[in-house]
Amino acid sequence: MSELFSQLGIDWKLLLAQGVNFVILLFVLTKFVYKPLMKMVEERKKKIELGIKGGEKAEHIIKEAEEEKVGIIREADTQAIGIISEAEHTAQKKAQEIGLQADKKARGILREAMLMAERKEKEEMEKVSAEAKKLVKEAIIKTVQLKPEQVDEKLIEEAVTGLKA
Amino acid sequence: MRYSLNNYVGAFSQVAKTTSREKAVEGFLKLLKKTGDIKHSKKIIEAIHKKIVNERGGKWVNVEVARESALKKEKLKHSFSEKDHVDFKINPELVAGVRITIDGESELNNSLHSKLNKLFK
Repeated sequence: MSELFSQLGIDWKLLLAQGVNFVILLFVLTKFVYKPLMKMVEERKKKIELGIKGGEKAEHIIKEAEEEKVGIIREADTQAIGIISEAEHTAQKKAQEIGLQADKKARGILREAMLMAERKEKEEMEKVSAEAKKLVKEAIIKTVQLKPEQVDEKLIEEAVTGLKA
Repeated sequence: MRYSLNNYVGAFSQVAKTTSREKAVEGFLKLLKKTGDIKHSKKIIEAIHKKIVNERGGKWVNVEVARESALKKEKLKHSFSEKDHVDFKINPELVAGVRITIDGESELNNSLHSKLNKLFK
């Protein structure tokens, strides 16, 4: 075996020493470099994963918030439209009522004015009529007083006839 | 008045039936003085007169005309019987014509004033 090694140019002692060195180096590297490095990498990986997860979660939350926002805005829009529509309806109704009331009042005032005018006209007519009657009556009386005998005769004759009847 | 007209008229009628008219009148005037109603004697005597006229079957007639000339109308004077008591009165308000009231109830108003009032009512 040692001949074989020597023929191949391999010094087994050196090989052993190198092997021991390698093992020691492997141990040292494993213990002080690989493991902490791996630990660091693992931690980093975890952090990144956590970050990614957090990001996803945040994205999800943002999406949800966005959806909620859209929903709220839509609802608010609907409510606002409803309120505006109701307000318009109420305003129209109110305007209609005010219009009707104003119309009624105007008609009342007009009717009253017409009645008043009619009453006044009637009063004037009655006044004129009374005045005319008075004048005619006075004219008749004056005419009769100029020559009353004939009228007296006629009226007395009528009365006498009435008495006999 | 202390007593009503009807009371006085009734009392006079009762007395007039039993005694002579003169005595009845004398007693009645004394009664009026006693009751203090002598100041209403005109009204009371008129009421008695009306009663007497009515008892005789006559009517108490008031004739109102507008002027003196109308009173001379013969037709008007002869429209009533002798039993009736007729009072003639001049009322210029009538303008023309006549107003006849019988027993203070029925009225025949044939005056121009009434006719004009009816016409211009």
